[in-house]
Amino acid sequence: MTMFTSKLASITFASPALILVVVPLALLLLFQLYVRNMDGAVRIAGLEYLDKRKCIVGKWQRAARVIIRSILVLGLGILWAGPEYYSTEPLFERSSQILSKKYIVAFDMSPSMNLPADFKGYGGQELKAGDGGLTRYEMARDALFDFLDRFRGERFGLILFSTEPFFARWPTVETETRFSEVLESIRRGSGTQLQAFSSLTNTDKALALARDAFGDEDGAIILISDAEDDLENLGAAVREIRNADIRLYTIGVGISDEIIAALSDQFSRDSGFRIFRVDSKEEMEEAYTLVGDVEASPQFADDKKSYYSDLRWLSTLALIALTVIVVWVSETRLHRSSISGLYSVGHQKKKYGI
Amino acid sequence: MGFDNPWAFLFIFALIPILNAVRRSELRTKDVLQSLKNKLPPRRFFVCRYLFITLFVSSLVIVGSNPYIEPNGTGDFVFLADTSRSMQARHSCAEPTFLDRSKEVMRDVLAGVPEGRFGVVAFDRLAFPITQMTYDHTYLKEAINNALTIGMTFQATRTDLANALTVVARKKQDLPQLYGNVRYVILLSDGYLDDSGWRENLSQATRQMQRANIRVLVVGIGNPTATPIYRTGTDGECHGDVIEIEGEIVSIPLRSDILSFVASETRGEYFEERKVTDLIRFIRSEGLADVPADGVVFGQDQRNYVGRIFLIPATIALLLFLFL
Repeated sequence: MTMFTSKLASITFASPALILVVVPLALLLLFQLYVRNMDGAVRIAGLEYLDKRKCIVGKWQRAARVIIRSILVLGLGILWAGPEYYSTEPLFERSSQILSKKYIVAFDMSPSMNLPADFKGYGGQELKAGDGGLTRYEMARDALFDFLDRFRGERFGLILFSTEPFFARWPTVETETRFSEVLESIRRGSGTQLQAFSSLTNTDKALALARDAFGDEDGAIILISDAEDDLENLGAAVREIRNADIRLYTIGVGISDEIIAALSDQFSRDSGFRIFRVDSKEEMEEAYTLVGDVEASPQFADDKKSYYSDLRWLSTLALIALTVIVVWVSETRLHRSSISGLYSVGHQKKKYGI
Repeated sequence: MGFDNPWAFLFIFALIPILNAVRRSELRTKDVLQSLKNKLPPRRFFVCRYLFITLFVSSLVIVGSNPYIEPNGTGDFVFLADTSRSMQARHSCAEPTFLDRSKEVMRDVLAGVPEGRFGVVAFDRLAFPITQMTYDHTYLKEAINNALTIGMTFQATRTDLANALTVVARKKQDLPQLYGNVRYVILLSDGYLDDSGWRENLSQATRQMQRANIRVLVVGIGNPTATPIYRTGTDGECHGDVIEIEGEIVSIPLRSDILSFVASETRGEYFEERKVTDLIRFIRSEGLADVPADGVVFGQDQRNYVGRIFLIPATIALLLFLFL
């Protein structure tokens, strides 16, 4: 178990009002401290006289006894209130991640993504399943798998788009299956639904859908496409994304140098926008690695992570340890039969005030 | 009941020095009172002190071990949600759409079957899983609220229920590690297919469902009378005018005949929308199985931490211990 590795962020209480449960216990302690006439006490002649002249050292022992026992009451109150700890690093192995970075991967599903990875241009519709080796789509998908593994614990969403975009996976931290329900069944010539689904490429609408999913949160969009949307539309969509403080990484499979140059010029001073041209599996992997390096950099690494740890069990164990000390001290060193404590021990019926 | 920190039970040994201290206290009390010729408290006074401090520490040990309760039954279910254009029907802009109502049914089922693992598949012309199979009901509700929209895919006006059923059956066969335990699909639809050959198309699909050992629990979403579709803007705002084709208002009837056919052909059940409690009761009685011997990794939504309950005896015990 990794303990105390995080920097202090904040300690809060789940139910602060429940600390009031211990009010009767606190009143009982106050009662023991201040009320002098009680049922049962050992009668010692002259004790009242000594007490008035502050000659009884044990009076302070009585106060100390109440104070030390109040530790138990306070500790119990804290347990009722339910202490919680929020941090940017997990405090325990079981700390739950309540906030994580959000990534949305927008996948172009247009027919040209089914062309061989090294195919230049468009066309090639006569290709059948298994023809021409790895497709552009498969190349991008396999590189995405590595990216998912690298950023395990972050939220990933998936948008598939061609003529219309749609959410094939609402952002989730459960990425162990690598979206295989959706991505694995897509093969060239396999007659899957996505072949029917794909026709045109509506990049700006896909970006708008992704932006809506962020709400007020920030994060990053990874856009994978081989098509060139209208530069003006694309530029406007990118600007809208960047205005919302969402980072955008565009991985263009075989897109033209002019598009790259134009967008790079427009956003040259913007560290939240990157565009990559890839023509091979190696370049695709390199692009993902670069995106990963940027996202793992201190600038973006931890700002959106938050972990929640329930401290009740830990506080309870600490209270047990404190109980040993408190009981030992109050029952032996500050025993009630010491001068100050005499009033509370006996069970005689008459009242004797100290 | 399980414990996050079973090792915390070792803290019970803290009772040794504590009881020892109380024992010393007892001896000293007796010694002082006898020396001063005072009457000793009865034996039960000391016994109670032992009992209360023991109860206090024992309760704390249980709280510290972080006890939890998990369900002893579970099951895998797929929501098959119709998101075709007809699901936008409603009698007025003030009313929820059919899709809103089907989302409400899904949320009710999630609340009624907290131990279930669910996934959501949306369908219109095409069918796609929009969530993984998960125990995270908080996530599922978020996905249902935000990711299920009308017209998710291009040309969503068409509803291909047969394709949707086939897709689910294929998922179970092709991805047994993900969908292998799915025995029930909860279909939420108005059944409006606009397809004269629906019986033939659906028969083929339901046969595939049977082969995949999947029963369809159908919830018919709709009104007794045909319901119009109001136009919405790009921002989703409802406009006051209804959709017409060639001067005729497009009205969506609830095709309970089609939906009942799907249910009966797959040995499932048909439920009216207002009888969700019956659906939940059915799922709880028929759809849940014992947790397998090798266990299930439930999510936080299934794990109920009960440590706080043990603070009650701890508080009472401390109060009485301090009083004595």
